[in-house]
Amino acid sequence: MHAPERLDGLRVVATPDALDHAWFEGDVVVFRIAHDEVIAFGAVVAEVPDEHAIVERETAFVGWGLSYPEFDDLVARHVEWPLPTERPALAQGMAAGLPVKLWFEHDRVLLVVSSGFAHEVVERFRLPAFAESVKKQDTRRMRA
Amino acid sequence: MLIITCPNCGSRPVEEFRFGGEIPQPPESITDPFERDLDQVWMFTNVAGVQTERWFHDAGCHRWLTATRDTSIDRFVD
Repeated sequence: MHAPERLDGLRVVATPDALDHAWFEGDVVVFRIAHDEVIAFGAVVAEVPDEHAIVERETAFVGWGLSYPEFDDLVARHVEWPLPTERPALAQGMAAGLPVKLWFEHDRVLLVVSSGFAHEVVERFRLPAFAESVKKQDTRRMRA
Repeated sequence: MLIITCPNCGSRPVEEFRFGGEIPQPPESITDPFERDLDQVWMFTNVAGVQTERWFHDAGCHRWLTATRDTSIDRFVD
């Protein structure tokens, strides 16, 4: 299990058909969070065939990569709704009282939350907090 | 547990949603457009039975959805 990573990417709002044919540059994980909205983590450039599309940089999420045994042990028992069986798949809803997004890949699950809930995730799911190096950097920045 | 079916996310507990109120239908007797708007916004039927409501999926897709609920038994109906 790893400490969380900040997930940068692009948020795109466009027509459903345009999102079906959108293209993102980079090593991208695309969350189709609604029929007319996606968050493409890792994307830097987006090509969306919709002249009215809204494309904004998205930096408000953090994610934990979990193996399936870790997910079953720490997270799954807090989820009260049916989990998807196909892979890859996105599921979003409430777990342990927090709004989470779960990205199921073949060999791991990515648990994604708004960064404002990161400390709550650490406490409620007993997941690792931010890496030590990040904490030290933050402390130095505050002192300066 | 009260379950709402979100078109984007699937079946979820009602705790994930925010209630947006019923969708009132102004009576046919009100013909003036301004009066109809006023009635639709401020006058509620509050029926003991099936009514159409708006719900916001706060913990999921952040989208409004329309659902029909039987208020007398507090269950959603198709």
